[in-house]
Amino acid sequence: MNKIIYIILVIFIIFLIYPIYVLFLVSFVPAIFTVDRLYPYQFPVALTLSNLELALSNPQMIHAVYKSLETATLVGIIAVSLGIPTAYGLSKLPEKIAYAITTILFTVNMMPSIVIAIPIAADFIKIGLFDTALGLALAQELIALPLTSFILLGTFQSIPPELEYQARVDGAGLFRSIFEVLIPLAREGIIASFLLSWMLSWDEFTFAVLISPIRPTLPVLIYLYTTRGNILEAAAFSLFLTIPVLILTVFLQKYLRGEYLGGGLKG
Amino acid sequence: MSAIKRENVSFFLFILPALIYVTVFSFYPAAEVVWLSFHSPVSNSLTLSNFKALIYFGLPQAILYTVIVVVGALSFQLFLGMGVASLIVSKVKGYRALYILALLPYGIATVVNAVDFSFIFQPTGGFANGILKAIGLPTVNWYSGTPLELFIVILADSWRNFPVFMLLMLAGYASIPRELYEAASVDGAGVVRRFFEITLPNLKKYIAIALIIRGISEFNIFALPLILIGYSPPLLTTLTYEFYSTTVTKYYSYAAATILLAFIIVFIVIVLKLGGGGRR
Amino acid sequence: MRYKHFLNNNVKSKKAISSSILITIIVIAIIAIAVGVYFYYHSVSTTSKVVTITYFDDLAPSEAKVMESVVIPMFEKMYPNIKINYVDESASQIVQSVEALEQSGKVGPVIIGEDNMIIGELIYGGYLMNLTPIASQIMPSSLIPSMAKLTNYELKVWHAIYFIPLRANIPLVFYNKKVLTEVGFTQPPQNLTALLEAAKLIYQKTGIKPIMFQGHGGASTATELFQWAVQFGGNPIVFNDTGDVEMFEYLYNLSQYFSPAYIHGYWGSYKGLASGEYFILDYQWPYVYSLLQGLGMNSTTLGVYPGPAGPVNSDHLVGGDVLAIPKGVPASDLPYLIEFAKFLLSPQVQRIFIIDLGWPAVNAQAYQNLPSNISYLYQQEELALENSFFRPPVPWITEWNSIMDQVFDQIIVNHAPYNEIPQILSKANAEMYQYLLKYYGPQVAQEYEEGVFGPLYA
Repeated sequence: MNKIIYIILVIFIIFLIYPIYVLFLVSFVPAIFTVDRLYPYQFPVALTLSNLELALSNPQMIHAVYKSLETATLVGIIAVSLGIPTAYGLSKLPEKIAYAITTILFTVNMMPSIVIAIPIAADFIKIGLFDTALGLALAQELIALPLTSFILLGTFQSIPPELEYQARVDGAGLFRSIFEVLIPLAREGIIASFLLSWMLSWDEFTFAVLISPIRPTLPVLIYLYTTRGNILEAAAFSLFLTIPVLILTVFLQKYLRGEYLGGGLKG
Repeated sequence: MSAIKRENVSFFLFILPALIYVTVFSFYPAAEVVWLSFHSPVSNSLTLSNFKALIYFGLPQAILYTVIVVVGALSFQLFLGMGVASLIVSKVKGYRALYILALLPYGIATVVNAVDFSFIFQPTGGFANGILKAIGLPTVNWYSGTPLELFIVILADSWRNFPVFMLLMLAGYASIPRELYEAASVDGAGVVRRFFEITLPNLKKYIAIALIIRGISEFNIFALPLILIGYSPPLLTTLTYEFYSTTVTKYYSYAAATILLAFIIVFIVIVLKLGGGGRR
Repeated sequence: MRYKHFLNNNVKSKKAISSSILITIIVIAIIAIAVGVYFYYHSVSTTSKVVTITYFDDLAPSEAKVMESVVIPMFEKMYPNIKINYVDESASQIVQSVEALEQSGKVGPVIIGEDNMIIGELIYGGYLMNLTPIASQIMPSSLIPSMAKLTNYELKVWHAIYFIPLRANIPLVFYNKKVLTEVGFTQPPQNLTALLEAAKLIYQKTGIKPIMFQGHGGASTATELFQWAVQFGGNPIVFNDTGDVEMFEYLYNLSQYFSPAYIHGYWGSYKGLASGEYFILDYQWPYVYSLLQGLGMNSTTLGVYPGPAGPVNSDHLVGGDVLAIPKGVPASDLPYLIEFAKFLLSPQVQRIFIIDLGWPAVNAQAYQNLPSNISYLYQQEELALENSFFRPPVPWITEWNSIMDQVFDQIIVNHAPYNEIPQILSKANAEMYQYLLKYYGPQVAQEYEEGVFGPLYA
C-alpha cells in the first residue's frame, strides 16, 4: 500500500514541477533547441542569457514593470488602509450584522471582473482615470479587499479582547488603543494582507487589459506580445513576472495557513 | 441611545468606507452593464436584440463550453486538493516539502501559466508532443478539436489553482477533533469508512467554500483561455471580450457579460443550497 | 494535533521573519518611489521646446523593431526637438484609444497609422481631423496608382481628405519550391484546380497536409476570405451571391489539405514554412519574406508568387496603413505632426519600407534602383498590384468581420454538411441586413442588399 502511495507521490511531484521546468527551459535555452524545433529537447542542451537580455533591453518592459510595481503597491496600501478599519468594525459588531456585511463583501468578489471592468473603463475615461495606475489600483482593489478584510478579521479575532479592554481601562481612547495595542499585535496579519494584495495585483490581468491598455502592466504586455507573435520575449517577461511572486509565495506559506483562511469561520 | 448601540454605530462607521467603495466600484458598474445589455445605441426602449445577435454568434456553445470547463476544473481541483491534503495530513515522508512544493503553482501568474502551457501544448515546438515522441507514442494535435482544447484549458487551470482547495481542505482537517477518529477506529471502522463517515461530513462546509471561491473564478477565467485557445472555442468571458474589442459591437459584450453574471448567481445559489447554507 | 503544532511552531522566528518582511516592504517602496521620481523628472526635464509625438500603429514585432531602431531614430536625429513615442496596438485597439483620447478631451500631438479598412470607423465616428488644408504639405508628389485611386475615393465620398496612404500591403503565396518540384510542379500552381492537385499530390507523397490558411478568426481570416471571394467573381460583403457560394464550396474541398495549424493561422504565422510543418503558405503578407530567409530558406527552397488565379479574376486585395490625425489635436502641435508625416512619406523612408520591411511603398519615387536581392519579392508584389482593390472603409465593417468569421467557423472549421453552405451564407446575409436595418436605417440596409457596398476598385 505504501509503495503505491509513493509512486503516486512521485508522479504528482513531476506533474507539479514540469511546467515550471518548461518555463525555465524556454527562458534559458536558445530558442532553436526549444520552441523553434518541431519536437523540443526535454533537457537543457545549452544555456544562454540572450533571451533575458532581449527582455531587459526592451523599454516597453521596463515601463510595464514600473506600472505593475506602482499599481501593486497602491493596491496593497489601499487594501490595508481600508481593510483595517473594516475588519476592526466587523470584529466588534454583533455577529449577525458582521456576517451579513462579510457576505456583501464576498458577493463583491463574485462579480465577474470582466463584467465590472467594461463600464468602469468607460467611466474612468470620463473622469480621467483611464490608463492610470491609481484607476487600475482602485479597480483591482475589488479583488483584494474582501480577502484582506477576511484575513484581518481573523487576526483581530485571535487577539484576546482583554488586551484592548486593558488599554481602555488605562485611559487610552478608541484610536490610541487601536494604533498602539491592536495594530502592533496584528502586525503579521497586516503584513500578510499587504503582501497578498500586492501579489493579487501583480498577477491581475482582466482589469489591467481593459483599464490600462495604452501603457500596460506586465501581464498585459506579455499578452500583447503573444498576440503580436513574439512568444520568446513573452516567455522572458514571464520569468520577470514570476520570480517576485514565487519568492513571496514561499515567504508567505507560513501565513497561508488554513487558520488564516478559516479565520472568519470561527463561530 | 444606549452606550452599546452608540458603540455599534461608531463601529459601523469603520466599515462605511469599504461599503461605499464596494458599492461605487462593483454594484453600480454591474447594474450599468445589465441595464445597457437590454438597450441598443439607437433606441431608448428595452430590447432583446443584443441577446438575439449573440445567439447567432455562438452564445449557446459558449455557455455549454463554459459549464464544461467549470465542472471539469472544479472536479479536477477538488480531487487534487483533497488528495494532497490527505497525503500531508497522513504525514507521508517528506510532507513538509510536499506542502511547499504544492503551493508553488499558485505562485505562477495566470498570464505566465497560459504562456507556459501554450509552450507545452503547441502543435510544433510543443513539449507535450516532445515527450510523446520521445516515449514512442503518436503525437497529438491538442488544438484539433473542441474537446481537446477545453481539456488543455482545464488542465492548465487546475494545475495552477488546486492549492486553494488543498489549503481549505487542510483547514478543514485541522478542525476535525482527533478523538472522532480514535473512537471510530476503536469501533472497528477502516480507512475508507472513516473517510466517508467522519472526514467528508466535517469537510462539507470547507468544500462548499472552496467550490464557491474557485467556482466563481472558474466562470471568470479569462487570461488563460484568451492566450491558450483564443476566441474559439468560445467561453462566455472570451466571447464578451471579443465583442468589446471591436467598438461597433460593444453592446453584444454587455449582453454576454449579463449572461455570465446570471450564471454565477445561479451557481452560488446551487452550491449554497447543496452545502447546507453557507457559513456558520 | 501534531499537525497543528507543526503549523504553529516557531513563534520567535515568526517575529523575526515578520520584521524582516516589513523591512523588505519598506525597501521596495523606497525603490519604487525613487524610480518613479527619476522617470518623472526625466520625462519633464526636457526643455519646453521639445515636443513628444505619440505615434500609434499596428505592426508585427519584426516590423516594429525596424520602426523603432531605424526609422524613428533617423527622424529624431533630423529633428532634435521632436521625440516620437511609438505605441504598438492592434488596428481595433487604436480605434478605442483614439475614442478614449477624444472623450477625455486631452488630445496632445497624436498621429496614427491605421489599417485602411478600419479607418472608416474613425471617419464615420467623427474622430478624425479634416486634413484637406494641410494635405498638400504632406502628400508625396507621386503616389502609386492604386493609392492615388484611394485618395480620389476619399474626395468623392467625403469631399475631404481624412487620411493619407502610408504604406501598401498585398498578400502573396509563399511556397516550398523543393517539395512542389518533387511532385511535378516546376511552376507554382497557376489556377485553383492546379492548387488542389498539388495539395493532393504532396499529401499523398509526404502524409503532411501542406496548405496553411489564416483561419484564426478576427480580421486575418475575414481579409483573406475577402480576396478569395472577389477572385470567384463574388462580392464578399453580401455573403451569398454565386461567387461567394462557389468560393466556400471550393475552400470546403481544399480544407481537407489544410495543415492542422490553420485554426491558429493569422498575419503572424510563417515559421511553419521554414520548419516543414506546411509547404504552401496561402496567403501571407510580404514582410515574412526576409524573416523566412532569416530562418534559413533561400532561393532554392523559398518561392513567392501572387497566387493561383481565381476562376473569374486574379485581383488582389490591398491592405496597409494610412496616416490620420485625431480631431482634437491643438493647432500649435500640427507643424510637428506634418514634419513627421512628410518624413514617413519621403522617398528614403519609403525605400526603407520596401527593402527592410517588404512593404510596397506608396511613394512612386522610392522604387528607383532597388537592390537585386529585394527585386524578386518586389516583382511579385508588382504583379499582384496590377489589378487591385480595397476593402470598403464603411463604419460597420467590424460587424461584417464578425459575421464572416462566424461563417468560416461554421463551414470550414466545424465542417458543416456541404449542401448547407448556401443556407449558412444566406443566414449571414440576413444577419448583416438586420444589423444595418437596426443601426443605419432601411435605406442603408436596402443598399446593402443591392450590393452597393463591395470591393473598392475606386
